[in-house]
Amino acid sequence: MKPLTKNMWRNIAQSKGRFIAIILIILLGTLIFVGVKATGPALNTALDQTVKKAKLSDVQLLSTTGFTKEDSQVAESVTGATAETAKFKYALTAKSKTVVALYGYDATQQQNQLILRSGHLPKHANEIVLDQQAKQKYHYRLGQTFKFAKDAALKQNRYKIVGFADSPQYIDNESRGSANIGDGTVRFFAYLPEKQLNLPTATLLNIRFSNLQTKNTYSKAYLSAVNRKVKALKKVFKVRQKQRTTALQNTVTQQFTPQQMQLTAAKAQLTANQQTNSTAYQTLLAQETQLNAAKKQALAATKTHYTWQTRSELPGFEAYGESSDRIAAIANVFPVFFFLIAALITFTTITRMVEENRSQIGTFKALGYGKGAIAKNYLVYAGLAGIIGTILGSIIGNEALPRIVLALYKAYIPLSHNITLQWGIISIAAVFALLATVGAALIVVNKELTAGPAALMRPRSPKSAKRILLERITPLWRRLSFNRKVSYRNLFRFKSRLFMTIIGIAGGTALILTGFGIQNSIAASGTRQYHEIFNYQAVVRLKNTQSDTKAINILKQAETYQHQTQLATAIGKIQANGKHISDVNLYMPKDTKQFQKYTRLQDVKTGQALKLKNNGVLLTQKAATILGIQVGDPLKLTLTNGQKATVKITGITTNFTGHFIYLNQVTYQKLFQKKPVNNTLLVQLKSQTSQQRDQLAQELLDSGAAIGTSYTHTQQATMTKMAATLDPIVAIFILLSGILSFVVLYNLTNINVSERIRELSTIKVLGFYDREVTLYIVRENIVLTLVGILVGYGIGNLLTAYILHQAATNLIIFPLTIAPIGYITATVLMLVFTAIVMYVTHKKLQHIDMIEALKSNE
Amino acid sequence: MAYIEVKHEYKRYQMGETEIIANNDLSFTAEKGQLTVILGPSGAGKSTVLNILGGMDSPSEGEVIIDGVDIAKFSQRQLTEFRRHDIGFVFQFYNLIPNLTTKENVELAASIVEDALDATTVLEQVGLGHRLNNFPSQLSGGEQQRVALARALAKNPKLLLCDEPTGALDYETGKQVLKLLESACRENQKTVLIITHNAALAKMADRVIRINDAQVRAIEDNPTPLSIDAIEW
Repeated sequence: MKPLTKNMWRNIAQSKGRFIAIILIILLGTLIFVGVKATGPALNTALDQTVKKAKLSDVQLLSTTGFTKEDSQVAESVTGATAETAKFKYALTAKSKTVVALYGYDATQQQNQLILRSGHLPKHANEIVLDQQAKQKYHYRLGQTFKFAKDAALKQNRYKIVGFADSPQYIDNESRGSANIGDGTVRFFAYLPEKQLNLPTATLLNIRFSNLQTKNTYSKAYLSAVNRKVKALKKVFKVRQKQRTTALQNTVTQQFTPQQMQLTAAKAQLTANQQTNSTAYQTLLAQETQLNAAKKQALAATKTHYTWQTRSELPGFEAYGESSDRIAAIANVFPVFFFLIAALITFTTITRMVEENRSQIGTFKALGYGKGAIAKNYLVYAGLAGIIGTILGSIIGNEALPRIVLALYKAYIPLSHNITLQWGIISIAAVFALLATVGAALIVVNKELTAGPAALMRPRSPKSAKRILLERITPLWRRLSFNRKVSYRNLFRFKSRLFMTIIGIAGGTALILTGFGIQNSIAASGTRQYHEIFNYQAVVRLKNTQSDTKAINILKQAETYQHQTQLATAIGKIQANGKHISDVNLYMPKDTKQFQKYTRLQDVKTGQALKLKNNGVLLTQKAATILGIQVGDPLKLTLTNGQKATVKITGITTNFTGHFIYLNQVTYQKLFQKKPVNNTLLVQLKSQTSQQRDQLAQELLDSGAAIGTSYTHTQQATMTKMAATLDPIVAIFILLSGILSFVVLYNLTNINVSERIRELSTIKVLGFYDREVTLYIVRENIVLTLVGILVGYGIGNLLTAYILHQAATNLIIFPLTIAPIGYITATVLMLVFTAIVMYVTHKKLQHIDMIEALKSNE
Repeated sequence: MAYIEVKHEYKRYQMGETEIIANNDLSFTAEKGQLTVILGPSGAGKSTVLNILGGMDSPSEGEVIIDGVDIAKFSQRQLTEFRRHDIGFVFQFYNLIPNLTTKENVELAASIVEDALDATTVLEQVGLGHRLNNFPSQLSGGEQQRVALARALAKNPKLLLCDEPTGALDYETGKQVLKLLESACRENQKTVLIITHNAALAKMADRVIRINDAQVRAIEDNPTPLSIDAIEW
């Protein structure tokens, strides 16, 4: 080994602390950058692999008249399609009348395979497999008897529970969809041997495309490909629909023909006998009417109607994609900022290292070593630290972070994860890490090497001290104590360190604040919508205009009932500026004054209350933003029945989730030439248990007065859950940001001490007490920390706002909210870090060798 | 009793495997208000003894009695207090705080003792009344050393310790500084200890202690010290 190389290795060994510090900073930077960047794709891949393994259908088709083998063949005429018919219906349990989504189990079926968690799949006629959630939430156990309600119309009412399973059709533990029986909410699914369902034909057609399986189920490529397939399927099923209807009609006609012929014959006989006035003839006529009615009904039932469903319509599927998109959105901002700070600090550290080695560089130069040979040492040192940091950070980040997040994703079924290294992201991190290390070394070494050896061996001429601006304000300057003057002058002497420390502290504060901000803001969307804007707890959809009294009577019997108001609702599509939004809720209150107690209509800018006027509508803010329209602009409105109208916007209201249009009934009538139907009740309730909620909903449904009841509590819970999915990642952010700020502060203080060791030794020799020596240098840190924290508040808010903007969906606004706890945590952490660093510095300064420092001429 | 009394003082350093003995059984005394020169070649251990006398370091063994108090067994805190109130240092390389002006450098020292002298007055005494608001980088070496001297004097110490005070200065400026030290001793009755390898300086001292190879080789009293102006080298 050459002496120069030996010297390099010994350098590393001697300055272990600094070498490790650089590695650590780069490690943290790459860890969070690579880790968070990898988490979004990893979440998508995990779900994608799980559902692919279980062969989840791409498209599911429900028919009013069931499916036969021919339907499968029709579906398979589309390229790549494999179709399977399945039996499916909703049923109620015996006692609690819980809604169960019941599937027929057929061992030969390939699609939507169950992911068995315990027990075995049904082998005998009396065996049932239940949803894993039935075990978790409703405490069913293996070997127990599961009872269905009598009207479930199954072969038996009692089955033995032999297994628990997850299904790729239900990835979200909290959501099983809705049904038109019981209280309307499906609680879990179950699989029974197919024949047990007592269905004459299959009710479900599962279609899977072999040529779609290479695409990630959340990718745009998959979505557009599946849409093309659905189009192709719809084309062939349009023909099939007619065939099926005709075929069924023929069967019905054939069924009725003998009876009809009999009747006609009997009628003809009586007519021939001129007995048209006899009672027998009357009976015949009555029978004929009856028969015709029955036939008509049977024919009506042959009308085939399809319901299409792709993966994104499965419960929880879309939300999962959105949550991983949201993490990806965060990944574009948060880690980049984090990495930037890490790079800056590394840069400072390397710069300092090379500067400390000035005289050594001079010596080598004097000995006749070339620039390249000398520079190589520092480049290798920096590069080594950078590479080690990048490798460790990438591996830990890429492997651990997505796993941790997935493991903490308790809201979803356990997903199989196979995490792949994201080479693209790792390369970006590596480039930046090397820029920060080797790049810094290159710049500084190059600068130092241009000086002659003699100049290098002489001490660097001290930075010329300058009067600072503050001194010019004499009255203020004079008031400061001597020590403060010294501190302030020092602060401004080392400007680069001043900025570095402020950036470090501000960055840490901002990142911690952002962590809290993301969480708070997403939760605030639901909280504010359901507490500030909506002041009701339930929405009851009435069966018809006459059923309101009945429904209100049922409500009044409920203990928790307070008030209700009636209104007409409709769904429509709105258009303006060439953009459109479908599924917008139209609310037309019966009593506008009363309605104001249920929904707060306030101007988005001024916060002033808005009134429903006769000539226009109020539109919610997000819809207005998407369409790019303002008060006074015209808005094109299309109802689901195709009726169109154009109306002026008279106000834009504050709203956080969903799109709403509020208008009075007079306006509606003017626009669509008909009275709106008062089909909805908004109900104010006292706080309820979930049992009370379910019971009330079921009573309303059973009475026939309502077709459905939804609770704001449930919707808010969904929003809260959405915020909770980000908890793990936010916790990781806060933790790592804390570590980063600590390392930054520690590192900068170390540089500060080493740069000013002579100065510190001098004042120590002068007889400053240890406390005074520490304060002499730490006073600067305290000032910088305080400034950094304040700057961090600002940056934190900006960063949060930007991330929220990125993460917002078409339906939701996340109002920028950072709870005081966020500010408190960030501030306390920073102060604690400053205190720890202060303590460590204190200990270190107690042991500095003042004699050694003062002896040398540097 | 003498003002400074060093009795059988040893200082040993452990340098890896080997033990280095910097002071090997040193014993000498110095009188109050006198100028004492410790003379010896570099590496003789004279800086070590000065550091011990100044409370920057403690001996491994022996007694160091200053004004009747043995500082050899002082704790770190006691040593700091001793340096703070009783000692003024002048180093070869000035060690001024680069970020403070001349006046502020002196004030820095003055701010920590109660009976400190006025910074401006002291600076005027060393002939720098016109340089009060300059930063060290704007001063020549001789001027910087005079600021360092002013800083030591401003604390009004019992003992003025100087480690090669002219080592980095040219002949003329060196002489100026020595002149100031001399007057501090003769006119203001300060006890002054100067460490040097320059044998010519022995003539200006009341007492010369020759140190070589970690031991005291000779102690010479000089009843008629010469003025620095009369010495040439």
